[in-house]
Amino acid sequence: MDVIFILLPISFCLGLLGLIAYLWSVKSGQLEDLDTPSLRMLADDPKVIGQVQDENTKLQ
Amino acid sequence: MQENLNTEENQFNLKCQHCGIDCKQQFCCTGCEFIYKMINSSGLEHFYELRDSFIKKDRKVAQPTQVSYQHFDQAEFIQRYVKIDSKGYKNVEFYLEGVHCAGCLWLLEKLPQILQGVVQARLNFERAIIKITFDQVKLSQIASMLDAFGYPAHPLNQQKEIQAKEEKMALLRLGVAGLCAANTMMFAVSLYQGQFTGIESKYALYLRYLSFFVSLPAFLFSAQPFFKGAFQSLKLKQLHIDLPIVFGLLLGFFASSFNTFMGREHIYFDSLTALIFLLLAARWVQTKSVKRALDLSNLLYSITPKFANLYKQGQIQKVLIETLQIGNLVQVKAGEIIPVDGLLKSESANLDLSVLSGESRAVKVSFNQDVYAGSLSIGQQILVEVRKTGQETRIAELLSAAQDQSSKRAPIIEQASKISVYFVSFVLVLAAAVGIYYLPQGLFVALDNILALLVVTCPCALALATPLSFTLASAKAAKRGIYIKGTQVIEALTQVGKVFFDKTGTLTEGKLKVVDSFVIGDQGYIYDLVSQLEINNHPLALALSEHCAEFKDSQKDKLVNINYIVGKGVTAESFDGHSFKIGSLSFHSELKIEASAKDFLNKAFSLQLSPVILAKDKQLLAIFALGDKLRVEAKQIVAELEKSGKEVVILSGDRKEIVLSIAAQLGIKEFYAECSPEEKLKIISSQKLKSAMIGDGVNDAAALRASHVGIGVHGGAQMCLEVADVFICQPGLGPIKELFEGSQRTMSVVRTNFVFSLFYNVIGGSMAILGLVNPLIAALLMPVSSLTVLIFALKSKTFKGD
Repeated sequence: MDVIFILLPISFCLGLLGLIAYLWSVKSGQLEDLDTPSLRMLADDPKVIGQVQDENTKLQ
Repeated sequence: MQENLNTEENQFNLKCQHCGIDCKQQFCCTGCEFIYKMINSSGLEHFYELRDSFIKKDRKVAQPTQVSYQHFDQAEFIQRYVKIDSKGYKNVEFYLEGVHCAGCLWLLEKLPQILQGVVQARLNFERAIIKITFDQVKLSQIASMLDAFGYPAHPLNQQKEIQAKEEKMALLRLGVAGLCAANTMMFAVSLYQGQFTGIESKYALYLRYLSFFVSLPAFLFSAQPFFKGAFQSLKLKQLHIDLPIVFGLLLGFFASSFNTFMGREHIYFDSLTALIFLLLAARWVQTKSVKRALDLSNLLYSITPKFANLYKQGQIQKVLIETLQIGNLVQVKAGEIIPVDGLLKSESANLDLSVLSGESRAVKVSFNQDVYAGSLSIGQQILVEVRKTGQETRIAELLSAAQDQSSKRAPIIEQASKISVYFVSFVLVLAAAVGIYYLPQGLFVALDNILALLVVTCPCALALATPLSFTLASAKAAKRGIYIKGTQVIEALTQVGKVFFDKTGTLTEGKLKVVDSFVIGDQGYIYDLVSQLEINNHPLALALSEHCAEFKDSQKDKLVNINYIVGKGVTAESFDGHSFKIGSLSFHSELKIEASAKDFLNKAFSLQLSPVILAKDKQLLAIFALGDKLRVEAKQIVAELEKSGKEVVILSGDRKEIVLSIAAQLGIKEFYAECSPEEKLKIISSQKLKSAMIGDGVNDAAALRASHVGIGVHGGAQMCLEVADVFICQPGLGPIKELFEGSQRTMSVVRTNFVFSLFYNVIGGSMAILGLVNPLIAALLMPVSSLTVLIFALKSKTFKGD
């Protein structure tokens, strides 16, 4: 069980990675608007053949 | 094909094809018709499937204004509002009117598809701010397109950079605290397990040291706000809940560290870091809800018109107000607000000064007389020579005087903070007693028990009670259009003893209406004449044409040569040679008025109503009595306020007779009339009882600031909303009553939560004194107490949601 001497710090470092990801999302302003993404997701684009493609639309 | 289907349906449903409100035709207005056609021609009919999801009730429906946005292309404008991002694209942010449903969100983010040159459009739905990334297209084209879809665009004042940084720091601290709390809890659980099943001392020692190191970031970084708060509290000798918290944190942490290095068992790192995390989370949620209210008032404030029509050599040019020089000539169209202080360079003008003085009647100004920024030009286009701009105008001075008040105002201390001092002293005494009692059993035993006592009595639940209750209450209030700008405001509202009403717009409807009429002959014929005669922006004309609206297009007798005479009335002729005149009593000097009409006139005068007389060929046809009607619910609400123990007072800039009449109708005993903004301020400042001021004009701003609670109401001058503690976006007095009652209910929830948290502290403290507390018990007590407070706050009735 002596292995936990190494495992515990490693698990903490994994948590640290999570924190870094969180920091990145805070810095890039993702947490500024928490309400709009939930509405945005509900708007499916209807199936249209030959629709113009860009970053905002998904061609289904 | 879809269009035909819809038309068929419509004959039975009678709803506007575009916005969905009930109407008699396919479209409720040309605006909706225009937008409908735009949407269909762009292939975006999917909008109508999304339209009704998640409608915001307090938003206006989208309407195009067809305003020209040419001035958006000016160099100064671009320099101010357009930023270049790292990829070389241009970025701009607009506040949009009319955003009210998920369909709007979908539609607006499709802008790249609609307008060539727009790369991306991201809408923040809650704040109605759209961020547009673009390249080869003109700003005016973007704004015009947005307007065409029904979302008039306004440029935004840049958000303060410092605020954004502070928010990010807060989130950072929260994240670090969360990581530390989770990990120390993980280590602690192993240790608790060890208490039951046995654990080798080398592992236990290791876990304790790890707990110590992992809690360091939480303690040194995340907990900083609490230390700062406690330090401020000591420095200013002001009470704050941070004091006992810091007390518990410091002693708990040092004692736990001491135990760790001494190889002893009792450490409390998990409870302490969890405490830090919980409190930071509660504060962040609270800050967000306050921010929502502040945000909205800032937004509304920032969209006040920044442009003026510069008149140079016969040409009109739209320029930023800041670029105006003294001596420039500015053209102000009918119904527009004068943007500067200056001299009138037209022959005469009819101005509405209500924003400045509270006077609800139009004031006539002659050539070369002073006019002030903020006044509205009724009925005609005028020229003004610029004398003072920006911060030097009278309106700006009024506002800064109002803002000065804020620094002198004593902050309202939360109930929780008041309790904190007694709390700390009591716990200290108790801790000393515990120490002395257990000393005979050994120094370490005594220390352990003192530590247990301090951690267990740390006021977690107490500190959570107010932020949680406030956050939930203000969210509910916001749904009703009541925006509260701070925690202490709710408490302050319950302390108010006197309520001051500004007359116009709060107790009354705020605009002139036809209260009564006296008619000789065919009513339909007369109303038709009135509709034809009264087609301008004068409040009297608006009231009359609204009253006679049904007969607008019947035109039995078509009138020509319609002549508008400033300050007097309107004359016209009909095809068959009859002459018509409508206007004030003085306009009809040669008219003969018979007895019954005279009675009507006298009655009108006694009720402080303005009579407007219609005559045909110098014969009396009708008399209309116009006035500012009292709101239907006014009498009831004034009575209810008084029943709840508050005195109701009128504080108005309007004429004595009018205020007297209204006070009499409502049964109000104390009232002030013809008050200048300075007088209003003086009256409020000299009050002995805590007072709330309700107002809507800049003339109320200083008084609003000076009062215990300042309430700005619907339709108020934007600057007024900036200065108030609460602002209400719905018209009517109902929200005001709800504001007071809701605050009362919220405070009782807060108090009950205090009782709960004190209860837990008593139990925990007693157990600690008896030597029964160990880290496990402390770790259990804290979440239980916090959950109780949270669940109770969630379940309670504070503000009525609808």
